[in-house]
Amino acid sequence: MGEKQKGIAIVVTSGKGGVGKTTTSANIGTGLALKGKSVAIVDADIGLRNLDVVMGLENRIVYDLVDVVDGNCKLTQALIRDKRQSELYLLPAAQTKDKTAVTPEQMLDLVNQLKEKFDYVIMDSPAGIEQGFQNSIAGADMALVVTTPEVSAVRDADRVIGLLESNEIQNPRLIINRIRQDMVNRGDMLDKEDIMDILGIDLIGIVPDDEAIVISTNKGEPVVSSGDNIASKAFDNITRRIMGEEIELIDLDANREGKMSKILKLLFNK
Amino acid sequence: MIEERVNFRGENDGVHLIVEGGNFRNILIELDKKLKKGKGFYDGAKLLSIYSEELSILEKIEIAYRLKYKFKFVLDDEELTKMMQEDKKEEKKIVEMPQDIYTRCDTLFIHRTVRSGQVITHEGSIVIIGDVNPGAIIEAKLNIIVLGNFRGSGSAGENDENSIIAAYRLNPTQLKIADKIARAPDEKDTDHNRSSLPEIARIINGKIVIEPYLPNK
Repeated sequence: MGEKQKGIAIVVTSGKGGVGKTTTSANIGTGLALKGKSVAIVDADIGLRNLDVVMGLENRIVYDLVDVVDGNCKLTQALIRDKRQSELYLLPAAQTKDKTAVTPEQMLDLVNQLKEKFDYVIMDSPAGIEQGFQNSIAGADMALVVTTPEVSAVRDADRVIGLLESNEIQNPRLIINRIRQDMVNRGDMLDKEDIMDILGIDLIGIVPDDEAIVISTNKGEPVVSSGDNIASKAFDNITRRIMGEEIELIDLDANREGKMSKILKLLFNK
Repeated sequence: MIEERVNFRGENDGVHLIVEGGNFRNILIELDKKLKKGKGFYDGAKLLSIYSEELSILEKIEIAYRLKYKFKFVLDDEELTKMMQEDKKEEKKIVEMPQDIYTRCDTLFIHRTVRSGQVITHEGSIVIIGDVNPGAIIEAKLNIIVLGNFRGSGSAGENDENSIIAAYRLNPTQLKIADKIARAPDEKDTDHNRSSLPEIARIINGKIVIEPYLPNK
């Protein structure tokens, strides 16, 4: 930490619940830390905290975000250092309060303090578009909108993009989560193109529906740190795109190529 | 916690609206609160100006129309245009502001995608250079033209059966022209049997009919 350039605050949001905001936040945070960046992940879902569980840090929480805002402790006391990455910290949400415990102004102040200390500040937004959402976008320099290939999730993503734009958070980027190429090929699932056609914003990554994510989430180890499956690769690519690299999207179409060539592809450059 | 305040200042021939703070959502909430409290008091009152340091022109216009349609204020388009121009601060803002939205005569041009939950209301016709997504609502007194995919809901021609709703791709959730309503068929549209021509919805023999647009028609 020490004297450095001001960091970048990124809000991960979606409108709809259960599309993978928390998993995405944990993986992108971990991914950036793996690349040598200092990262703070903030759980803005006050009252329904679970980012700590996904990261396996639940048993280390002493103070939380509301304690910091209320002045019960110093910011550095509430930040929990990750088990694996020494440059990765979590600021947990309070579980006993609700969204009104913090105002957008207080969040803005908090995010600005974190930006002084860290290269990246990841804000894990709660579902919905009420105060919790307003809190989570306070001070954000960039927004990642997570959706799944379902009509309802896309509709909510569209609503949230509209709200981000009217809050002057420009150019939100899209993450399509939990896509199943076999279903897309059968015509039973919205395709990347269908979603892009409606939302019309830049795509920053596609994450396939992968058992590895469920397993890693339950273990409290973000999948990106395992590095040997397609979901991990997908999050790694998103991380690198956030850092400004240009990488092609993963080809998820297993039907078009044999299984072997897919494995080869994974092993080598793609 | 809300810093936004709205106040009316009366004059002989009408009222001025003074707005403090810049959170548009809160302003609308405060406005509703104020006007619901004094129910009917401002009916027929003439809106002379909206003064605010932070609101954009578009937001002021939205407030003006809200006052007109929801709370029965009197306001005509000319006044509105003049009102916006007279405000010097705003004039500067016109230059600075991204030119995606502007009013000309009685047509409102929107140069962006209208997204779910957003409502565009206008006295005259509305032209949208972009898409209208599902969950968005477009309400025009006259025609609606969309140079993009119209997937939302639209209502045109409040009293005029000759109004049309046209789009480069017309896949609306619901359409209303004058007092006629049509909705999308329940079966999913297979794109194969659709023409790639733009489409126009209009009233023919008392029903809303959607036809491909042929230039010589």
